Amino acid sequence: MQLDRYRGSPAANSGGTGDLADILERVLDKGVVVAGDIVINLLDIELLTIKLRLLIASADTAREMGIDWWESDPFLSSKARSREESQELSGRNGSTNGAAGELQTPAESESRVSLDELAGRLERIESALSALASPSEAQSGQPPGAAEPDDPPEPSGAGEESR
Amino acid sequence: VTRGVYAYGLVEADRSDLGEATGLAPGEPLRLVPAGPVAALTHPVDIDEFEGAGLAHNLEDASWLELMVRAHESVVESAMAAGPVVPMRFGSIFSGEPALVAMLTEHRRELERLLELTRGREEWGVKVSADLNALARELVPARAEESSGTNYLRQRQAELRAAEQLAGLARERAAELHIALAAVSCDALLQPSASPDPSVLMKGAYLIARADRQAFLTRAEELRRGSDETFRLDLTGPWPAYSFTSVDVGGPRD
Repeated sequence: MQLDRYRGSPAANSGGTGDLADILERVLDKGVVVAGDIVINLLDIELLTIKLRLLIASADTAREMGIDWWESDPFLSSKARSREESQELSGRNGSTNGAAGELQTPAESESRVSLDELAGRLERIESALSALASPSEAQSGQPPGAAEPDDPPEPSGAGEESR
Repeated sequence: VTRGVYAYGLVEADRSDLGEATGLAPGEPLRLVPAGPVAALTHPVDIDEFEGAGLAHNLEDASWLELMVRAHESVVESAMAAGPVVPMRFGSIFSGEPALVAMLTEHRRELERLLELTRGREEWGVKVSADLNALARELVPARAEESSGTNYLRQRQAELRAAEQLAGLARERAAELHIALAAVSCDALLQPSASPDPSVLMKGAYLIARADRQAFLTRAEELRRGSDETFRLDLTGPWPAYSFTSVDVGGPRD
């Protein structure tokens, strides 16, 4: 996680594709809309946006999205165990996520980390979550476990950096 | 060829610096079309490219839209440097300057309000995400080697339960982040996510005074550091105030 690049998302996306997704989101969906004298058909634009979003998702991201989406559906995940079924599913879902074709059985390529590591990580998550669950923190400006005040980030000028 | 007027955004009518961007009509200077205190930043365009068969043909080519959208954005961003600018939605094309002036005049009050709203301000976007499924898989230890169907299903159930519980906690956490960022903003919006990506927990837009940029970024950094590494906090900006100017100022669409 980085905050030193203010345009687009870090590393994961190359070639400014994240940047394009962000631009599309605003330019196509937001801003002042003047109806009545607009030539362009907004429905066409919406369809195209969907198509574009698929194109700009990198292959890896898309595959991951497909897997997560599939696995988060209990019905699909308990059934879709064979390759054929997976492909059938991906075909069926193709209209909404054409890039999700490469489904795989979930456990097959997972590398497991050690239990100790996991326990430690879970503990950190839980403490971070519970610390933030207390509403007073939002106002205090200094959540527990947050940055020491003597070490502020240095984003000065970074906003212009990508310009 | 039918010529139309493409409007990128609205600025103050007495503005002299229109920015450097070439926009949709390279080689042609940007043209200010004023009506009272508000003016539209425009370029002439070929309407045939944006409707009917011409549009259908263009839409076949994803790079066409990318080019157009980037051109639109570059004009609005470039104008942002020298004063308030209200972005218009992509594809705001008028049959001619008289139609544009009529619109500006009719909605003058609302447009002036929006212009004031954007004065000295900028928009930042924040996306909070976490790959909860991957985390759930890690948290549920793999069972023995036997790959029986029953074991597999049990394993998957445990993973799904873990993912569900994590999702609840994560959404709460994301809401806290939004509240904390909103506290240092002039205005804030949670954006309904149309993303098929389930790892996206929250998307917010924040309108901040340019002078407060440092404070906003510092707060975001504090929040990031206070979060587990599982959470990703992506920040984009400064943007023209797109999310805070989504106003429909027209009559019925044909």
